[in-house]
Amino acid sequence: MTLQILAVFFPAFVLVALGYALRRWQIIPDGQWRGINLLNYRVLLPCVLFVTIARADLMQAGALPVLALSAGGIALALVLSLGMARLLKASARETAALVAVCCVWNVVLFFTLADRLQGEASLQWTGTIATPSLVLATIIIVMAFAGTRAGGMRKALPALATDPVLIACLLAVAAALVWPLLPPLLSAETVETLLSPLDLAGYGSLALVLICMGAGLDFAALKGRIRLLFTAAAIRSLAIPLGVLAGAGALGIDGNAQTLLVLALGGPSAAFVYAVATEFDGETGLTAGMITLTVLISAIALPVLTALTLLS
Amino acid sequence: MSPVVAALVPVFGVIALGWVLRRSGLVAAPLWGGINRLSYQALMPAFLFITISRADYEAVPAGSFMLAAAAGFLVMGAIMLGFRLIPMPGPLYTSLFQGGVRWNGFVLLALAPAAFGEEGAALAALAFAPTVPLVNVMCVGIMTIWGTSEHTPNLRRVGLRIITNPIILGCLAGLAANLAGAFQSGPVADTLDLAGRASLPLILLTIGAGLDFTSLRARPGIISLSVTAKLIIAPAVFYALGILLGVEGVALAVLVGIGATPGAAAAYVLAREMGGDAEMMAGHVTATTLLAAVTLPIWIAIAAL
Repeated sequence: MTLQILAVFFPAFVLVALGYALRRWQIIPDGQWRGINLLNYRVLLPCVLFVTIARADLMQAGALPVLALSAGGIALALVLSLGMARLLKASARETAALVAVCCVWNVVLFFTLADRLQGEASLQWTGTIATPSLVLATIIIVMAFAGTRAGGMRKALPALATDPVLIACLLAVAAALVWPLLPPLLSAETVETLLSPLDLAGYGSLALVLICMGAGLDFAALKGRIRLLFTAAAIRSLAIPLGVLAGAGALGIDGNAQTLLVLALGGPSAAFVYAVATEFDGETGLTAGMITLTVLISAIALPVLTALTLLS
Repeated sequence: MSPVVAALVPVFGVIALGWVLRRSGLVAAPLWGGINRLSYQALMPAFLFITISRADYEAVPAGSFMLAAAAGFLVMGAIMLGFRLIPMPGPLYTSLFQGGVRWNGFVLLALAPAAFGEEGAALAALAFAPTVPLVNVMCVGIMTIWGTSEHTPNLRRVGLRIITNPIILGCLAGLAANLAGAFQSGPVADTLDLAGRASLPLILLTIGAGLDFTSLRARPGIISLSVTAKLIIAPAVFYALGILLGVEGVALAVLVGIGATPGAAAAYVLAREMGGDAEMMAGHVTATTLLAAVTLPIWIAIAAL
């Protein structure tokens, strides 16, 4: 069991470390990461989301509790982060960073680990789990950061309307719902051929996104505001997956779906939260520190939590 | 749909996506440098290493295949030297020469697993090790004689750059691992496999981003000649040499595929650095990339007959 878990997690976290090393030693200089991150966020991530969600059977048996728990995990993150921010007397800008980091989990790491753990079988649930979480989380983080600056809400709606992740998710949901009606017009083979460039671009590039995740780690940002940093990491990497595990038990979700829900919602925060924080002039330093800490704690907590689901 | 055509759709689809991204400004031209660097220096060597280290070369005619591949490039070099008889400025000739001999192996690598299976992919990867230095030495030699760089080329530096090319190092390390039976599986192999998988889509995107349709108007006559050399003469030469040296089956299809690949963007870089005709080179790469979508499956089908 230990070896199986290590085999799943080791390559992904080595690539994260590789990304950190490439940036730390300037093998890929700072200025050149901008293009790589832009390609990731605007193209590769939407590609992988589109093909995964478009192929998901959102109407399959047992999908409703999985969809509900995926959305419930984000609701839990929102409630916990707002509650803790109030308890810690965090400023509005600090609260926005805490909410964003707690609500957004790293979808690419999830797809990579799900594939390594369950192979093709993981595709039965990955799209179903990703859809509600990502749509909700994207709306929450944009509203959270936009709400902290004057005129931010005016900027929030156009930002949401042009958000590549949100657009990809919504288009893919539409495609997933239309998919069963297509065979009379287009054969399954034709649709697969049409999706194949997005498949190659998206799934082939999972490693690149992990490398970028590592390149974005900022250990200098871990200094100061320790309570907020650890609160974010504790909510993101411990409280939410444990809550999801309990929720899965209550809703009767088990097997692959249960493991994948924990793997998804217990993952570290996504690097694109930092990009949104920058766009809305948010607490970028604090956000970078929180993301870094969630990655470090997830590297230990996520394999343990995954092992727990496999044992149960 | 034939497996080759089905394999071509994602390859040329991603190339087209790269072009759209740059053209629309979604990922602007100056931002592609980092993507290029990461793909060539880190991810592609990992891909070549893992493909070669895991391949079973005892099951394929690797020896005669490699000999035919190397001979193919030498013969193409000789044919392209013959084109020097056509009166034209030296820099333009160097670009014509590069157009005829340089190959874009990454297109073939992306195509190979779906079109030829694992065996074909392993052969395509193996071909990089000897042919990349061979082609580079030929091109640098021609550029030194007929290029018009204002700086005297530092041959030692060029030589060092060829032998420390991450692509070549990845191939050689993979071959050593294959012979030693190391890194065939386990966490290191899994990590390299995961990293390497990202290389091909990224390189295909950068190929698309590099397409420059305005450059097609630069020297239409010479570009037609270089395109003919690359997409018609080269695959015919590789095919003939393959038959002559007893290469057959999947190995022959891969060999002809090597000859029929479009031109490589590296030719443009060298033309700029060593005084070739960079604009003509950009036009050649763009034209061969577009036309190879049609000619490549035809040549592979001929080889499979």
